[in-house]
Amino acid sequence: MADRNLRCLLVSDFNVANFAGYLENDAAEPVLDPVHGEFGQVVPVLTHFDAPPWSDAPDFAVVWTRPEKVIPSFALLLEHRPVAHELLDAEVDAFTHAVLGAARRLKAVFVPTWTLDPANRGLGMADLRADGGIGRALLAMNLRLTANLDAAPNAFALDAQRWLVHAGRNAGAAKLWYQAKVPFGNEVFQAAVADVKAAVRGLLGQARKFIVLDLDDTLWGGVVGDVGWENLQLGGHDPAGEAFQDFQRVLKALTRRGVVLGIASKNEEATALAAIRSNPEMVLRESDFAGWRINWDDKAANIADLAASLNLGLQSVVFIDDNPVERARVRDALPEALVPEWPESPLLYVSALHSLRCFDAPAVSREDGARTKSYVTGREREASRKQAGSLDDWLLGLGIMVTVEPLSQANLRRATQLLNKTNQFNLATRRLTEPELDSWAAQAGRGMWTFRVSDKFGDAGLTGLASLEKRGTTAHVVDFLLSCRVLGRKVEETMVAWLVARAAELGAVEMRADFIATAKNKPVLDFWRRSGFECVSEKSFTRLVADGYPQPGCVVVVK
Amino acid sequence: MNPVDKARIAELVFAAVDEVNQQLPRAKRLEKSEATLLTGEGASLDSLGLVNLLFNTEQKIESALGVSVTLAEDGAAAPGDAFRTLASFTDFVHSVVVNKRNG
Repeated sequence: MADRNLRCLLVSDFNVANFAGYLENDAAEPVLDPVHGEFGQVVPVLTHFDAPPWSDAPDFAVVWTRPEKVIPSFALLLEHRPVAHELLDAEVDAFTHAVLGAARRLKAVFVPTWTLDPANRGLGMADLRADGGIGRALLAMNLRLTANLDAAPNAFALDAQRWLVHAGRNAGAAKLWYQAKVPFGNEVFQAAVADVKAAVRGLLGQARKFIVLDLDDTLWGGVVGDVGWENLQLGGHDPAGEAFQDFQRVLKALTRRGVVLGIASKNEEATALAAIRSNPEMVLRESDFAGWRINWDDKAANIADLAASLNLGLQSVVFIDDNPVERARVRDALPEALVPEWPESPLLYVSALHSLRCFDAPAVSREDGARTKSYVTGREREASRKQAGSLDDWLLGLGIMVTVEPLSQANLRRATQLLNKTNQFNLATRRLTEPELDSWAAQAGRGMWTFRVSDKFGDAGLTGLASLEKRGTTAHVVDFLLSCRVLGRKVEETMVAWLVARAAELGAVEMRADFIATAKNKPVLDFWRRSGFECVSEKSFTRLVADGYPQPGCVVVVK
Repeated sequence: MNPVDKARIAELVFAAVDEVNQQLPRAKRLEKSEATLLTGEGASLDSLGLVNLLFNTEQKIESALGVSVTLAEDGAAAPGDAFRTLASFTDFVHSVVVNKRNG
């Protein structure tokens, strides 16, 4: 989206101008231009696509409503009138039906959950009971809302209650409400903007995925080189020790949603690794780290080197260190890396980590959970490479298997995720939602395939995606992307061979790949330059389909 | 009780303007100058902008000075030009806070 900022449609039954202001003025990337729906016209705006806000072609929408306004029966409940829960359910369903209809025209729609004025205690002690409890009804309505939104892969409920908790006594704003129909204080809107921005970054593939950690007084208390691994402050019946251990647990949990861990520490490597291997209170072990640089060199250089060795860009990196001098150095040397300010007390480490809004992703896949393992097997693979006689011998011995499948409902979610997250080895860097990708691939003259990669060291999962579109006698490579974790194992050549064969089936005479440059995707250009295709311009590569393309002998292709 | 310093009130009003500017479209931001027009001919602040300025100023006053004021209600009895510029608004806020403190 180079020609204009992304646009966010705000649909609300209250005065949304303050929220719009915070959204427009928020400096964090990406910049979002708010587009207003007509005040109070929630369902009409969501269902009449010829109305003005839709002519601005919004990319996203936030549909933020008050439950007593958009669910009429809930207003009756607030007056302690009897309301059948079936009626509430039906009204929630009707509202979400309108939201889901609008979602089909957007990259994504965000729906803040319904909240009440925190001062409203409803029926007091009976408020969470089934008979007339307002809080109980609201919980059920929100649960139904979130379940209904699951029907669309690009519709997301956002937890507005957390924003109110964050704002504390400033959550409600009675003065603003009665003077301007603004129901929330500034802090609520600021927290909402932060969450919406984090979600948009996640959808655009801008989530960070690599946490590089210091060790001493970051992962454990104490300096291991001074006190020895047996005497580190970690676990046990000690507030700081427990806090360090909890911090490790949260980091470990992040690895299960696809975040990779690394170490940059000024220490003797053998001493530090002995602590990780031997201290019984450690939650994180060697196998939880994709890599490390433990030495006395400059940390910024170490982080850059470590990220490069894992084929991760610096825009993926979050660096956590208790030492403000090291933080300042890395922030200065590696401006693309995120270096959050870090609390002095380890008791606050977990909340500091939880407050980072840089890991949002629209979904967690099987591949995400196995990402760290794939880096660990990568280390083993690299060790075997050093032992092998030649590159060809090594590749042959890996037992590489590539399973190719056409795009289908079974792999659509992971394929979309890969499309939106892959930066470096990505020919066109298209960013599409699941419905958009599905719709694109379904058109005549187009084909899209997923590639699963495994070898004797492990299964990397669905890590490649490629598509063709036939225009005239030419089959154009539209998407050609591969996770950097499997680069250099002839998978990329296998994908080209597959595409050339499919181009032949489509009756194409020529196959053509046009490179669309971004700040990050030079690796894919380098590949096409050495691919054997004719370089017809600086960024375009062609080949006669009749010439075929050699399938690498070290790769077994399974259809 | 310490007398209320007008310079301190001006700082708090400017802090409220910072907050209001985060709520305004970029093109409508207020300049932090005593001469900035708030209402009347030549001013760019709309009714919501004025409500936000009052609300944010009240919050800053309460947070910094521990004095709870309701500027909109007090403003009804204020001189006609109280909301004309940031300077006159600061004078008005100062007088409200002084009156509140003096009971």
